[in-house]
Amino acid sequence: MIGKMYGKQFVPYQVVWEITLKCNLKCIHCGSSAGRKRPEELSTKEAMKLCKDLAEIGSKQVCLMGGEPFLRKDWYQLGKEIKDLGMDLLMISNGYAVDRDILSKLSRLEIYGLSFSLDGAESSTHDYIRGVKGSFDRVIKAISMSREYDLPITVITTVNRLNLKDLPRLRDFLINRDIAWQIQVAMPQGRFSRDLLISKEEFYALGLFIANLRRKYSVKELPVIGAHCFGYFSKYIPHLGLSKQWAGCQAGLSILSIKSNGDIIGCLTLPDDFIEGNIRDISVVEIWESEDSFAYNRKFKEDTLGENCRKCKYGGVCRGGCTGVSVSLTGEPHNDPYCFYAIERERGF
Amino acid sequence: MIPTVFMRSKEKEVSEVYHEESPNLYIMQGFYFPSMMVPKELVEIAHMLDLDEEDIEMILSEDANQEEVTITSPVDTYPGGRYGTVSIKDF
Repeated sequence: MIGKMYGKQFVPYQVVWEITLKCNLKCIHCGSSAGRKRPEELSTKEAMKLCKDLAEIGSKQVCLMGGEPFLRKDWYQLGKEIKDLGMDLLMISNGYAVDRDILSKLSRLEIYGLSFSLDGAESSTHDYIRGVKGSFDRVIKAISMSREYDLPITVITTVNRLNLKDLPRLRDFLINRDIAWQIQVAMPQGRFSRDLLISKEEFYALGLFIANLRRKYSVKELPVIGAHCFGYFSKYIPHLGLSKQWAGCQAGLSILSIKSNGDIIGCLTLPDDFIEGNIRDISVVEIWESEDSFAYNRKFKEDTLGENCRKCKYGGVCRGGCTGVSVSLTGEPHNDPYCFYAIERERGF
Repeated sequence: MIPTVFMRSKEKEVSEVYHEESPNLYIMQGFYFPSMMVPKELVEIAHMLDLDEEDIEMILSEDANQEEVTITSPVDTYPGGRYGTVSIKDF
């Protein structure tokens, strides 16, 4: 059924690539527990070959992230290769080490999207979450400098109980600045403590907040989305993403992710059980085209829906929400409890 | 104004729903809203997020119209994964 939806062949239109796990911050919500680089991260030669393979299997966009991607010395070489192969380049950074040399290179690369993580409206919140004093001032400076280079900027805010209250002030900061805003929810993975997870009520209110922003402000004033962790099929809250409707988790269907050691996985939010293989053993082309890969999504059947989603009338389309959230909170895919529709049903809305 | 969740019936007349479903329903502008349904915490959080009652009402009164869900076309742009990013160029 999924195959029919997307044509005969799955295409990894979007690739999310952790090029290093090395990081200069110590974020309390980091799902990857980034800091030191992984043992045996890909060499430049291996990474360049991977770029060619991604183009071969039809990728259109490659997003380089970390860790902190600018700490990998050959990031520009990889970015240029991605561009030369005709794919769009995006990067996600914490902004801490971003300088004019980096921004000048990104401008030359005609980067499609440059995203900075901003998790508070003031230094006390952001620096606490990011684990390094001064990180707020650095990212604000990076955003400001990026605007001078006319780069397409996005701010990503990962919400937990500590920064929920900062969102209105972040909104005020971002309005009319020609900066996109991606709001997402921190989940108990890696270093993030479950104690700081927002409650279902907070999650629902956050959905209302984003919906209200989209109603009140034009795309020109404030282009904002809720990430894939927001949804699904609410009676009241419209879809908060850019696609017309939630079409289910795209890991292994139209999205492919890569770890810095060459492990291939549908989404970097998923634990190691979901690794499909390593490019040092088998090429990404073979992994992607294997009938056995990404079975949780490609061979999805409604009877695999978990307890939270089994009786839902949207289960067949939704496939149980965000796989990363579902696994993080319940230990299994297709069972995402952070769901607007489920909350409405629980509460009798 | 009491913070509310609107309940709208497409099939029934106002009075029918009012009497059948709950004696506690308020009727306003053609909508039904059982005010007790919204948890107090939700309203408090909504206030923290600068949402006032009017904002909540406006969103919740707009039927997201999700009843008929058909997705048949290929998904060739689907930005916004939690480990990924949307670009301003996607808007």
